[in-house]
Amino acid sequence: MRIRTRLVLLTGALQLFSLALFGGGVVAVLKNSENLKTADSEEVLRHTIARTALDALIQRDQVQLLSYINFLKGQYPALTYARIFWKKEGKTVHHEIGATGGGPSITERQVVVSDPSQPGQTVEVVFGVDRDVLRLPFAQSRVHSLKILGVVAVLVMLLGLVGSVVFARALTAPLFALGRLAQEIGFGKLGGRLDWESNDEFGALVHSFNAMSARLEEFDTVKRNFVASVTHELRSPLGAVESFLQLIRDKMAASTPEGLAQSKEYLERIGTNVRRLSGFINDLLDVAKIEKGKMECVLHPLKLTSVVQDVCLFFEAKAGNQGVSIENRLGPIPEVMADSDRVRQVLVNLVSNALKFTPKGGHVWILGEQFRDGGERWIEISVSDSGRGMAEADRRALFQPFVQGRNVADGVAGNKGTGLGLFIVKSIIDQHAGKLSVKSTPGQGTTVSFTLRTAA
Amino acid sequence: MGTKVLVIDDEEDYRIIISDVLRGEGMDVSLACDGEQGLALLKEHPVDIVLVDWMMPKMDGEKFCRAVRTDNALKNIPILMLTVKQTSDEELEALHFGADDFVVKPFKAPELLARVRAALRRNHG
Repeated sequence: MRIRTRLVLLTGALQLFSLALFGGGVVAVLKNSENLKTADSEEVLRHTIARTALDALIQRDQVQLLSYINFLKGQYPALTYARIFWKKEGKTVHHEIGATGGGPSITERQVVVSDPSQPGQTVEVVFGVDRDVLRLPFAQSRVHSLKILGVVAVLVMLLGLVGSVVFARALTAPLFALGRLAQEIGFGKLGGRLDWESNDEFGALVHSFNAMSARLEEFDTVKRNFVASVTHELRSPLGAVESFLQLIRDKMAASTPEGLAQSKEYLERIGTNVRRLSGFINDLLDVAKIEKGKMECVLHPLKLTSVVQDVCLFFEAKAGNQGVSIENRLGPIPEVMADSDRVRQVLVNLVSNALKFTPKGGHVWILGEQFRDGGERWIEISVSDSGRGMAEADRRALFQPFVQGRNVADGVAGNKGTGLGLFIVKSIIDQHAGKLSVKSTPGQGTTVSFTLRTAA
Repeated sequence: MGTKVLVIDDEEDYRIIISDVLRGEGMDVSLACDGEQGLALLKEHPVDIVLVDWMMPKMDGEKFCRAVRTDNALKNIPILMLTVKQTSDEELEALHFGADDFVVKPFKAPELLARVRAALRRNHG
């Protein structure tokens, strides 16, 4: 059953219960007062008869008594009969007014009076009182009161019902909205949020729900980027390799001299694509390691100068083809504590990024600078370029896996990369307890720096 | 005189592969690395059909299609979209913004040729 229905039913039942209790109480009070009043009236009747009997006895007037009791019987319908025993010096005169007997509601009362001045003379009046008749006016007023009470109860019930429906609706409104939102998310429409501010449990629930929804959307974006870049990075070079192989096969069959020369070029291109693929797969494996927390660097004293020299040589041909100069401006620096393969990976990544964004005629250079931090000696290596630089928004997303700036989509021809490089670089530098920082001015260039502790 | 084809792709490998395949069939192939360059080239030397990659810097395939379709002199040129995207939604999208057909990378040479010929045939009625 729905919460709303349950709330309404529960409040309704509670209301009904309290009304019944209250009504029962009222009826009991009314009945009690009715009994008291009935007893009162009976007492008044008895008293009146006793007074009359005494008056008649003193005046020795039996007729007066009889006519007065007759008058009373007319006045009080509850007085059904009366038997009068007038006793005087051992003689008893008996009168009877009305028929003796009657229903079960009739009780018999007796009044005996005597004249103190004339002992031996007494009057005894036995009379029947019909309590039902006596009770009648009070019972009528009780029925009237109960009718009013009933109307009030129905009104209260109706008001309460409306109130409880309104209350239940207000209480469950955020629940319903949350339910709808959760359903939307279930159907894949992510990123929805609920505008609901309150200082209660619902407010807290909505707040966590919104946070969860936002996080889910973020995950989804990462997943989409992942699928898109994996698809592109795997299919594009694989497709090129397949096509080149087919073309080579055709040219071998035709066996013309220029065809064979082209085949040789295509083989080179196949090699490049295979390296690109294996690089991507290595990056993916590194990311998997990082996410499992298994990226470990073994630090040994390392001559950084030779590593930097190596990397510069590695990129010389590519930079030359691109019309970009690459310069090693590292002066003499002490050995650092580092994992040589990983530091090389960092430098390759940074230099290849720098080349990617630097147009013809630009420069890429590597600098090293020593500094002290709390008694420790550090070296800051920076890779700078005179390339296109990047906007602040892109700079902030730089170290997230599979995220690439607008810069890449708009400005890089050919292989766009996967958005994994800087994420891996950051993890490697973290493992060295170093710091990675990026400075960039759009249109002027970018400098990426990292710090390593010296060996000594 | 052979059919004139303009191939626009930012990846050099694909420019080489596609032009090799088309030239093998005696077509006259010109090349461009992005949408802007391709559009400029197209305005100077009209061609019979354009093959354009979707994801490119400066002007991507989508923007290129829109630009061609809104240019009175060029709007009837058939366009084949090259893409590694593969959900049918995205393929439909490509047709919506003005491509006549699409070729999913990696493709086989006979498929590429068949689609180019089919687009040309449709265009010449």
